[in-house]
Amino acid sequence: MNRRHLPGTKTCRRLAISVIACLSTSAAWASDAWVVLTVDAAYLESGMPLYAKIAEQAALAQQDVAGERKSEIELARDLRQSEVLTALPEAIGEVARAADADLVLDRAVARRVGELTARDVTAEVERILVAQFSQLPLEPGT
Amino acid sequence: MSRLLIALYLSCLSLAAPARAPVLVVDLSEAYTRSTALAGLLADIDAELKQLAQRHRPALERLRGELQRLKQQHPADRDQQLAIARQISDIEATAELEQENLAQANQTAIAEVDSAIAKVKAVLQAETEARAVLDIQETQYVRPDCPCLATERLYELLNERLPKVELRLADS
Repeated sequence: MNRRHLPGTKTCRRLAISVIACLSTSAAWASDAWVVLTVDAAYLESGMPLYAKIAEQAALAQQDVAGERKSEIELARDLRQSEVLTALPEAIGEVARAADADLVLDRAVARRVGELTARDVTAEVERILVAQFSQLPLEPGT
Repeated sequence: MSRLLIALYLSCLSLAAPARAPVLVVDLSEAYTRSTALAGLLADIDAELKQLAQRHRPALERLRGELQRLKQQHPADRDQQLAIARQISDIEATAELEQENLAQANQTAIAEVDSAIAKVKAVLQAETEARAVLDIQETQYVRPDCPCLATERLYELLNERLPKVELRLADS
């Protein structure tokens, strides 16, 4: 083999420096772009089957009761829905922290700002809320 | 070999190129204390409201006292009572108009600050080459130490651009 075609020590060093420079440049650029996730906020705030399940629970509880008790059940249903909405930001935060994300945007906002490749975590947030609330009984009068 | 280095450099650039302009987030929830213009406006409004409350009080108290006295007199002088009631009503209408003017001046001043905020956001976006500057309310979550948070810079630019806003009261 012709020795002239083998890279020398000096060239190898240059190559190594280039690789390091390349990697550090990429890292610096990458740090400019934050980790962005998206959720479907409208779905999480009002469209999830969890809300229908709560309503169904209330409807079942309202059977064969009347008057004041009925209103108490309605109030318990509204309170439970409020609890879900109150827990929503924390659930989003939990998913974001687990993913080491910088930002979570609503899908519509993400589209508006051209953030089209962000990972959508709606299902993960929904899973947390379902785990937290789907098995809880309604507690009218409390 | 130099060709290999050039190729490596070019591929390095192509690796770096996909990194896109960031999205910035600003939190304007403390604007009434962080913006010098808004903090000043708040103080001006407060002072004006106090002045308004004081301006007509002596006259109103005097007229109401007089009206009370006339009502207790026998025989009651209806015409005089009506005249005083009319004066009270006129003063109250003036005070109401002054309050409306103050509210209008406040709205105008706030609109001026809002406009300055919009311009500052545009400056911020241009200077950082960001894709967008979002209000924190438009986000679902922001990591507390996210480098995307540009609130400090926004207030810095806003206070430079609009250190004070005038409360321009129309003549009532």
